[in-house]
Amino acid sequence: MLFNSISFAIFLPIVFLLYWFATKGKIRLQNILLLVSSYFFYACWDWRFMFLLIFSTFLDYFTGIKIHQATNQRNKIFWLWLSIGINLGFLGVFKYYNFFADSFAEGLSLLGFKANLGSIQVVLPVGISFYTFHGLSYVIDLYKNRIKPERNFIDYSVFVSFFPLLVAGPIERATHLLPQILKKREFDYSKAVDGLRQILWGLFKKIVIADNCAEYANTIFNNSADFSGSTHVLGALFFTIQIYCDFSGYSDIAIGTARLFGIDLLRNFAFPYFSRDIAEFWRRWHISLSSWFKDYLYIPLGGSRGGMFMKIRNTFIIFIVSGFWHGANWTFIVWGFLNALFIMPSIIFNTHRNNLDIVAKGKYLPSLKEFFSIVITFGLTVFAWIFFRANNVSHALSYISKIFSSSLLAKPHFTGIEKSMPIIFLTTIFFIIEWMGREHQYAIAYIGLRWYKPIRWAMYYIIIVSIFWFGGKEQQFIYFQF
Amino acid sequence: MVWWQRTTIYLFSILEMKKFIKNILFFILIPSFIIFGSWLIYKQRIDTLKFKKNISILVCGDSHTECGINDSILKNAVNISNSSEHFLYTFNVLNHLLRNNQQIKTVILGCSFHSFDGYDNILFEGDRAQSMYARYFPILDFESMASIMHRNASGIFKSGINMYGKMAISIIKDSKFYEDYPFIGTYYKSDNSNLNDSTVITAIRRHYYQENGKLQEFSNYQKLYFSKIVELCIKNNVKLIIINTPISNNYLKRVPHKFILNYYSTISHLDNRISFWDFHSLDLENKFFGDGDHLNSNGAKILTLKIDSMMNLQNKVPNDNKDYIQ
Repeated sequence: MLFNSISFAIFLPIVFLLYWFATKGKIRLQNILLLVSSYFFYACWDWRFMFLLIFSTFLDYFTGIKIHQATNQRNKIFWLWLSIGINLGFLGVFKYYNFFADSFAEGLSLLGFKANLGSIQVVLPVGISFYTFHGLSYVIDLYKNRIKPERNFIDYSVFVSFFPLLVAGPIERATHLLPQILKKREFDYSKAVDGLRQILWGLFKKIVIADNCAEYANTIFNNSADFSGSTHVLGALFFTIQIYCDFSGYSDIAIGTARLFGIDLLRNFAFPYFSRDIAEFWRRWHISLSSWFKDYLYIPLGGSRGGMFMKIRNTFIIFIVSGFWHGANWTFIVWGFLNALFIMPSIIFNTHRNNLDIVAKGKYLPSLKEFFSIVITFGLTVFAWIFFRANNVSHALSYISKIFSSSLLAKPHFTGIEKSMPIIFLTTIFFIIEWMGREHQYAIAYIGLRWYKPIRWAMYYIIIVSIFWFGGKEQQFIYFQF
Repeated sequence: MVWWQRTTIYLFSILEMKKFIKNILFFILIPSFIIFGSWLIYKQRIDTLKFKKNISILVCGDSHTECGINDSILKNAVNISNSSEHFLYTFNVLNHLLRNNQQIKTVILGCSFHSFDGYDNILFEGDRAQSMYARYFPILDFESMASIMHRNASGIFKSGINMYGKMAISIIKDSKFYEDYPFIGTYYKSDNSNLNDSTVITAIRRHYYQENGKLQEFSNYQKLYFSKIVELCIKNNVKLIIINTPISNNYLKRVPHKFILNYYSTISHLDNRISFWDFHSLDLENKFFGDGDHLNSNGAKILTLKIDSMMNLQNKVPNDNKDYIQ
């Protein structure tokens, strides 16, 4: 069930009405309803993998209690590693087995040996990377005594399986979400309206911008040998915009949907393409994953303690692991490595925390220095995305080499370029709106704060009409594959 | 928190919830009223439309009749064919026109070898289907609407703005002529002469093969609505003439055999009150074809004159119930 599908448009109001009316505000009933709807939502993808989800949930629930009950450190560590081992084991089998088997065989063949470890034909369970990380954050927090174990299995299961975040995040923390699940929730009008507005903006981003850009990006990347360097640049730009609108659109819909149920999820994007350096970009892009890696990998590895070498080593580790988290392909690892490389100057010169606030706060336009910083950061990001989108590393390298050829100065051309003009225009408008709303949680949040109702509603109708009128060919959310 | 505080908060949240739902409904109702109102006006407009009194022959079908029959040559006829028109749409258009135009006595329906295959894609999938919804959806009967909604509800929603735009333009223009409404086609005059291997192969691929290179399946909906058209004409006491438009030898030799067999098998089950005129092997030089499978204006002239003379002949010969003409 996709967020941008008719079935979800039917599912959501039904669950919403049952949640607020049929449960009569009783938290137990509300949580049972959320759990049943979440499992239904997940079963719509593939009901067989529901058992994996339930098993994973039960494992962390059980080991969580055991960690808390453990009387000595050895037992605590045993239960922690049991949970981590099984969780990562599932992830390894479903997501990475074929990659490791192939890479191992290729490595041996370079040494002159022949090996065939075989491959497994299995569909990647949707959302496995996300709910595994939910569970891991819970057991690690328990181990660190940051939280107490949740004894009620239903409440804990809602934390893991809450349908808006189940398949592609944001990756929640037990310290943030669990207390909300346990607390009585009252309907809040302004929160619900804000949630709907965020859903609408998310749908616009996904259906109008991302899905249309996807068509052009796919055309160019899938037939890259036929195109000039300038068209390659255009293709990379289309993908850069696609991945942002696709994933942040998904996050907006997820966060907005959760708000309809009185639950606040972690913010996942904060206008990353307006960043002035790569460090700022990573504070604004996929925030829930970046902070997860920071808290559960970077800091346990020693973080920035232990001198510059440790800092550089740990930065490379989290970026490479983060790349690998995205998928079992060398392209993601190179993408992670590149980002680590890009961030290095600010780490070495200790300028990585220079830009904490949003750019040009309280002003209409950035300064010239800020503008150039944004352009350079954006350019580096676009470059790295080429690896993320390419089919393999050699494809990425040939794509890049074409960019740096004489055909870079040729007029861009691909089949359908004329049709892309309205989309380029819409994307420009989109970025202007994003710029105007950059000081808020999402770009059009300020509409609800400042605009009069008739104008506000007119704006909503315009967005809805645009979704119907300009909506691209339906595409799967990119992050569902992770 | 004491009980009365909890109750107050609960009641307050119920009030807020009601306000929320009221606003949502109001937000949905405004455009719904506009759309529904426009639809009613549109329906009322097209129900008052009539062809000129002398129009007694309707030519309908897909691009083959659209390009192949020149209604300025055929006496008392109007060509309403539309490119890629599925029989579901043809049936609904005819249903509407025959109800409002009692003077129509003959319907000429194009039906070619490709007519019973692959057309369900056009009905239910992709951009082409959505552009069709925008043109035809407002005039469909309940059964046709339901079958499309069942298979492609999202397509209907996506075509909504385009559909409303077409309705709104028709309402604003307030035209008294059928030709100005999107569900009515017209004769397409093409002066091209481009029959060659490339255009023939393109046409063959489009008609008989899927994108993956496999042969098309037969279309159940095409057959169903073809028979509904037959029933409709019989019920309204309208003479139905099915015509197989001319195709080039180059095209004919590439048509997969199973489609020809299926075609004649379907035709052979027709009611004996229906005429079937088969022009597929009409001896025409290449210069009379616009591309691989469509006639150009010169070819259309020859075919139309042929049809005209046959109609004259038929009018003179009583009880000529069923005729196969090669």
